Amino acid sequence: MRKIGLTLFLAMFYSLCWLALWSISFYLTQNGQQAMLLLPQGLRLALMTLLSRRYWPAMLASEMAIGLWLHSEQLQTHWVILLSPWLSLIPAAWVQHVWRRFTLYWQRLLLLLGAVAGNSLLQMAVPGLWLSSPLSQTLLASFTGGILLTPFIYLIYEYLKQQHLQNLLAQEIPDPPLRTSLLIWCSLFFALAVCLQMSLAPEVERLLIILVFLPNVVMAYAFGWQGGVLAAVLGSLMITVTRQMSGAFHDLLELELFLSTQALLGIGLGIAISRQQQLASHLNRYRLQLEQELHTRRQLTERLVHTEEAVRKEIARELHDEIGQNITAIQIQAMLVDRTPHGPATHVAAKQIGELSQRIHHTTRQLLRQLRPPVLDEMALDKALHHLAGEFAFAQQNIDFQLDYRLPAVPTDDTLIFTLYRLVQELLNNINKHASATRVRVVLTQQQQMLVLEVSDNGIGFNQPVKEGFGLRGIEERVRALGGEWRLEQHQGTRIIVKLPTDLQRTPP
Amino acid sequence: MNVTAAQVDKDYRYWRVHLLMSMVIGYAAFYLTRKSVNFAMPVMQLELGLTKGDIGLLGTLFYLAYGGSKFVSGIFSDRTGARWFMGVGLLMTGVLNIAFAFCHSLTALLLVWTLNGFFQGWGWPPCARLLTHWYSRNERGFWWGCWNTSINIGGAAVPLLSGILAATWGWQAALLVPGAIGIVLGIWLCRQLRGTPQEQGLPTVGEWRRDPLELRQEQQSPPMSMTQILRKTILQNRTIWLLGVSYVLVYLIRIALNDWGNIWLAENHGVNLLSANATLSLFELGGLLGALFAGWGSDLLFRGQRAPMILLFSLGLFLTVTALWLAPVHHFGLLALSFFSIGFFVFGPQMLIGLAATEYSHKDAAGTVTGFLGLFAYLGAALAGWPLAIVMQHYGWSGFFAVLTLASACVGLLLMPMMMAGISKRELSATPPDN
Repeated sequence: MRKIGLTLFLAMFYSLCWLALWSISFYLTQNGQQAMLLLPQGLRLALMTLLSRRYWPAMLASEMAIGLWLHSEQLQTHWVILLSPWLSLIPAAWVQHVWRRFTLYWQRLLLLLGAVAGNSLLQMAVPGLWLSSPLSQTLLASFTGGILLTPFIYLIYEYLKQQHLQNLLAQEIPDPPLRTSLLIWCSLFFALAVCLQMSLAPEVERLLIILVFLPNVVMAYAFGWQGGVLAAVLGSLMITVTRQMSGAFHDLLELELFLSTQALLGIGLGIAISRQQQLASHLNRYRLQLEQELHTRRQLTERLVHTEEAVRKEIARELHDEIGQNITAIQIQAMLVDRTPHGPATHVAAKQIGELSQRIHHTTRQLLRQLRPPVLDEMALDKALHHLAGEFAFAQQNIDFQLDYRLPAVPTDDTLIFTLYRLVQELLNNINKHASATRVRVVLTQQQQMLVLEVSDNGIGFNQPVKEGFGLRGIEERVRALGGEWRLEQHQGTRIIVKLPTDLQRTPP
Repeated sequence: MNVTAAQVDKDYRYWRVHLLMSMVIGYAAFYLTRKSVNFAMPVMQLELGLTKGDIGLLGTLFYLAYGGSKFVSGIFSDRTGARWFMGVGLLMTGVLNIAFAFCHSLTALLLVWTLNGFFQGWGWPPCARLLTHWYSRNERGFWWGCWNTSINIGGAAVPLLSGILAATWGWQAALLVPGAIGIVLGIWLCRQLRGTPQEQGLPTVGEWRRDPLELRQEQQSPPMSMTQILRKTILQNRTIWLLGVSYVLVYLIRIALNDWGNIWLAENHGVNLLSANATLSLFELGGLLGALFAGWGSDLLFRGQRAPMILLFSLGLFLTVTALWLAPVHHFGLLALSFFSIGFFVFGPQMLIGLAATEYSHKDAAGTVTGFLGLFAYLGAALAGWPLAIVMQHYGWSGFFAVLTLASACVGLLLMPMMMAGISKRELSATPPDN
């Protein structure tokens, strides 16, 4: 029941629309056969492609009936034209076959364009040979009809389908085929163009080309394939109106050529833009993903740095509280043993205990200083740096050392302070051990949101790439993790410039 | 509820068919008394010496009265729910038709015919009320389509009948006979019609059919005062306004072709009066099929969504109006087919818009909202009278068709934003159906 009803409905709808399209085409071509090849082709091809195959018989039957009636009324005179709908089955079947493999709108639109081209070639090859009109005319007629209507019907079909789905699933679907703004712009362009036509038409006929092509380009650019398709249809309407009013395009071939060119332009551009939009959206998605990745990576490293610092602090406290005290106890014990008179052996042993403890004590202090510079807990950064430089005792080695501290304010971030301190410590250590330099400069300045540390010497330098053992590598990684820069120049000595963001939390990756 | 389910089923089945039959016959009779003059007009024009402007004025006044009356009587009918309303209206139009036949001065003709327009407005609202209360959302398209055929049965029968009557007994007969039929059927109709299912002791149709969409509309229609209904669900409802504006255009096309079609055929294509009227019957026949298919198709293809179907039909309408305009040859068969196609494509939207309007407003306001739309409709119809005659004086028939083509293009354009924004949002915001 349902199927019969739908088939009847389709047959009715199809044949009435077909007939109307034929009438319009007849008006344009003044030739019954060419009229059948023009606009009805587009309708037929689109419906054959989009609808299920079980409706084909109904469509073929109604078209045959109309064809026969037209022939009996002498509105068309060639029997061979009745083959035309059967030929359209071939491209339609082909497109249906590959339809599911392509899921994007513009891909399917391209498929339809392919079908239109194939169909017009077939129409030219089979009925065209027996018709009185030239072959090129037949080809162009069926191509024009196809390219004008097929994409448009596809657009409407997609739109209705999506409306239906939306109601069925009760949710919004992104990127609807038709948007209100699109329609408004289209109508506006159309109205404007018609007005211009009416006021200018007889004088500047060539202006029409701009009037038609410009909206096509703009609509395609702004709305992708949907805009292209709609603009193509409106453009052809406008051309027809012009022909009606001012009698331009009297030659049919010229008219059809113009119609199909503007449609091809609009649709082609639309497809290209849609494709570009799709690529751009992909690219954008990947970019966002990458940004996300980078951000998490930075956060991770930062947390690593902080954790490391915390662990160091913990260990240092342990060493200080536990080991330090114990060692002190051992020292006291040793002193006690020393004081009890038991002979020389005890004395020696006690002395050894004392020496050992001394050594442990020393090492532990060393270790402590390395782990967490205690100076930073006690004094500000600039003082700590001076203290650090003092420890290296450059003056005794006849090294000209200058520390230029020019920060307007002390950095608030702990991590930053430690990193700076450690950087200077590590770099000076390297210079002290390997560079055999006679002049060392350390400059600390601020440039906008960056702290700049510059350490230079006139020593012998070292071979790049920097080896693991230098400890520079680790520091470099740390700097990069904090969003800083690291630059090394070797020219009459070594110059290392490090930039660190003042605000670690807010800097962009 | 003290009636059993089986009894409810039986009652519903009986009354649904019965009421539909009565409404179809009754409304077709309204058409008989409404259109009687149009088809006698070419003869009257000669005998009484009327100009085209006079005919246009007659049409415009009639449609204005009709449109206004539809709105007022819609409110009245919804408030009182009177069963006799439609019958009495029909009776009065019959009487006025007979009176019209005996008028000779232009003033008298205008007066009687305007009054006739007022009583014509009593037909629609009771039908809309019955159709929304006795049939549920997912099947209403079909039933409404069936009811809509009465417009076309009336429309198709009238030209043939009055053509024959006018040809054999003069134009007075073409008015007297429909008038008599109107009186008889009016009395019959008073006895046939019923109120809502609840007044018959039945559950609402949504409950009976278990139709979620219908139940939702019932839920969204709590009892309100008439002014509140009017303000909230009609005047402040964007969808109703959009539907109204497209209704103007649809009616413009429909009435223009109906009223001017035979004159165009006779003047431009040299068709004789009888064939011209026969062509208009084809227009109505196409409309009959169109309304049936549109209503039923929207139930079937779009699950009770009316807007997509209206869109499809308006595309077809655009094509066919253009085709009729450009119809290249004096080929009668082709012209007749074009009229048939336009009928098919114009009555689909005409019916669906009315239907959609009742479905997007308060359930108890069915008559009112159709009456409200009637204002728009007969604004369109009035535009098809005198203003279109002016257009024709200046630009000839091509101006006439240019206006129609433009109107048909606008119908589709107007509906699209509604489909996209109005209806879908409204539907989405409500609870989704769970079937």
